Amino acid sequence: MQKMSRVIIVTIIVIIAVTAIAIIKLMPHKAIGISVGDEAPSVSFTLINGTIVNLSQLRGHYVLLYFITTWCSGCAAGVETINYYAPLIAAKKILVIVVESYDDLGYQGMPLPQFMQRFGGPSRNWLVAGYANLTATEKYNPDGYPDIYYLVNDRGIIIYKNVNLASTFSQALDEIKAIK
Amino acid sequence: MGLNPHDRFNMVINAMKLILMDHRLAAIFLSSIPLLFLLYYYLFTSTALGYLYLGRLYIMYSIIASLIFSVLLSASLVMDVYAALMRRRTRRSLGGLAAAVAATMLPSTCCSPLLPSLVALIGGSYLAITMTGKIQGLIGIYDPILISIAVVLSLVSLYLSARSIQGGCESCRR
Repeated sequence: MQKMSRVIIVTIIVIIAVTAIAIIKLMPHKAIGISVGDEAPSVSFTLINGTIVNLSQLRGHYVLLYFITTWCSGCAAGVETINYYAPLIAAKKILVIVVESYDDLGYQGMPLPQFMQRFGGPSRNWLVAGYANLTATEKYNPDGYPDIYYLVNDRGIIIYKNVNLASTFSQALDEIKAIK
Repeated sequence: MGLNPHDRFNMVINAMKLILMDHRLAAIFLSSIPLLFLLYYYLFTSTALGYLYLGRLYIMYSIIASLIFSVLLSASLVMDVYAALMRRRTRRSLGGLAAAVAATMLPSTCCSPLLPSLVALIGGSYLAITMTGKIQGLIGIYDPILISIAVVLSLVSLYLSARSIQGGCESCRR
């Protein structure tokens, strides 16, 4: 009887834990911050070479905006994934901006230039890397995810958004392949 | 008086022999290995565990780590089931198993959105942006050390589970 009640208690705890995890896993897709269909907020980034770029200057181009942290293995895999799809990205004339989230989200990983050199592949004129300030990070990465990416169309509208680029980029490919 | 490593190893081997002699327990052990392997493999590869250090070889790192954890934890779990059936106290060995499971899951949380989502929900955006990296960054940078600690804890869990069914632990008897 005692054993049965313990089994029941453990089973209830496991069910509650799994349900909580399932609910939380759905949270990245809820409408927090900016969503698909919204106009991409106009923010500035400081590139590695010191140039300041404002997202609004890039209207007329499709932009893949990728917020990363340099201590995250998934981000390293994500940047290599972009490298892997370079021919498609180049063919669709998409500009890729890889930005380190504000202060590397509180923990300094590898310096960004070193990170891009190691995982970013050969230098390309459509791929730039830089740093996001607190305002830009609060707008585009309000939950402080290790990585999050947006596909912005030529009119400045967000047409795709997701986290964990290395694992989810295949879903973004449908949007990319539809670009004329 | 403590056992020497050779005696501890023999205790684990003898416990495994006891398990494998029972068809039901052997079936549970053999069927839980692939299930746990697939779980760990998914967790580790979906977060690209080890990519910072190993690049594309992270797949091998994930496969090896998943295999080690699935075998060790399956063995511990089945031994704890056997101990429970033999009416031996399992609190210490179950605690060891729980600690080992937590330790094996920890490295994959470095790149998971779970912690940031929780922190943002409780403390807001500024806290999530400035604080979650302090935890996840440490996990991400030191994941090989964390994996090594998880392997050690899994071995300890296996030993504790073996001890509880081998009669080497007087306080384990009910």
